[in-house]
Amino acid sequence: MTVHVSPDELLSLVFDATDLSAAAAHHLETCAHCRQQEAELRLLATDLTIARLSEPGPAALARYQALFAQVQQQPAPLQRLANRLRAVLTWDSRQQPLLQGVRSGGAAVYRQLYAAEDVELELMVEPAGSLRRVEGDLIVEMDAGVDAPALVELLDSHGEPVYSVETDADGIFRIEGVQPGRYQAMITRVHAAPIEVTTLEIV
Amino acid sequence: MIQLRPSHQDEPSTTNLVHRCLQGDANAWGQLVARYARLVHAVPVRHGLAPHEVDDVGQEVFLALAQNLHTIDDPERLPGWLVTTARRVTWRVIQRRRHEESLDQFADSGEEERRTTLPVARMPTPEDLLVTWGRQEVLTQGMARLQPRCRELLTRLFLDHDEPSYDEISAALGLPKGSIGPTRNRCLQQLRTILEGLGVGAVG
Repeated sequence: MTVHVSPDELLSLVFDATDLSAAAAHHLETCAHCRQQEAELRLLATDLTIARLSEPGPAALARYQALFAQVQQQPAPLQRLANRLRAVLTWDSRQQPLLQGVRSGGAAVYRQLYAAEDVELELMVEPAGSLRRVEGDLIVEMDAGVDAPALVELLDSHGEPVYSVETDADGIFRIEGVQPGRYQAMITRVHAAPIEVTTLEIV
Repeated sequence: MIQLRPSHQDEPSTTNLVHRCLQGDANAWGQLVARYARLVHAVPVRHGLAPHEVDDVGQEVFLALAQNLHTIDDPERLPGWLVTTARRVTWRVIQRRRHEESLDQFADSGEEERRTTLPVARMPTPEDLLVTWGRQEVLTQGMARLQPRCRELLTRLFLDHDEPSYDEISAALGLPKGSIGPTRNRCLQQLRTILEGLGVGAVG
């Protein structure tokens, strides 16, 4: 008959970081049931830690509650997240007959350029089987300073992120396996207003 | 995925609270904050941010919510909106901290006094974060169903910000210090059984 690691031993291992006996440790290595029990206990320990650390203190709650009155009295204070820059499509290779089929071969590959104030977003979309690969370059004007990396998200019609990727220090990013469809793009920057592309068609 | 649900079914719906907020009802705003502050905080916590950074994220997210309540098309999707917004704000805080740390490292001539950073695993997806919140909601329900003695012990052991010592817990609960460990184990097993009954517990 198999003798599993006891619940008390597993609890001590997870919650007290107590070493198991050599025999119990060896059994744990080879027993899927015991490893499952250990994994569940570790998840419970994590949940309890998150619960403790996430509980807002009274001071934080009071501050959040006071925001309502502040916003009503001053409707337009700092709105870093609300003040989005809208990037608009300024160039699309599919609208350039002379470029059809040039570069990267195949008419299905296309490039687009979106612009907003001091920033441009260049995209190249290419097929990868039934999905698409989206490569992008976030170009910030020289005198606007460096603001990379940035967080690039493609959102569904409910505004919820479907794809999410971080640019490198030069603003370059790549998203693999994108389903063709209509998205909204949101680009969160560290020191500047977010950039929004309200309609991004991936065909 | 765990179904999200309010802890108390008789509480007003999120839609009701949002509509009342839009009519200027500060009390409704207070209820909205109380309902979702833990959800918002759980996002920077999952990313390993320090307590003061967690509060900063909460401040920015609830400010954004107060300013954008009128743009929320479907208030029942508010948890998703809050998680997405908290994730962006958290990402910015992490980037700023990395930048400051790189400057600190550049300024430091030696290795000593290098700032300790919290380990940050891969960035959780919004789905991960909503699952985390779902588990937290069920954990709250599970704790409420524990026998009072167990609930009090586990609360003091795991949920008290002051992290009391075994001596303090022993004095507060009138429990011999040597009994705390075994009682804790029994209570944790009881909690696991309750959570499994609520649909939480399985891994993978």
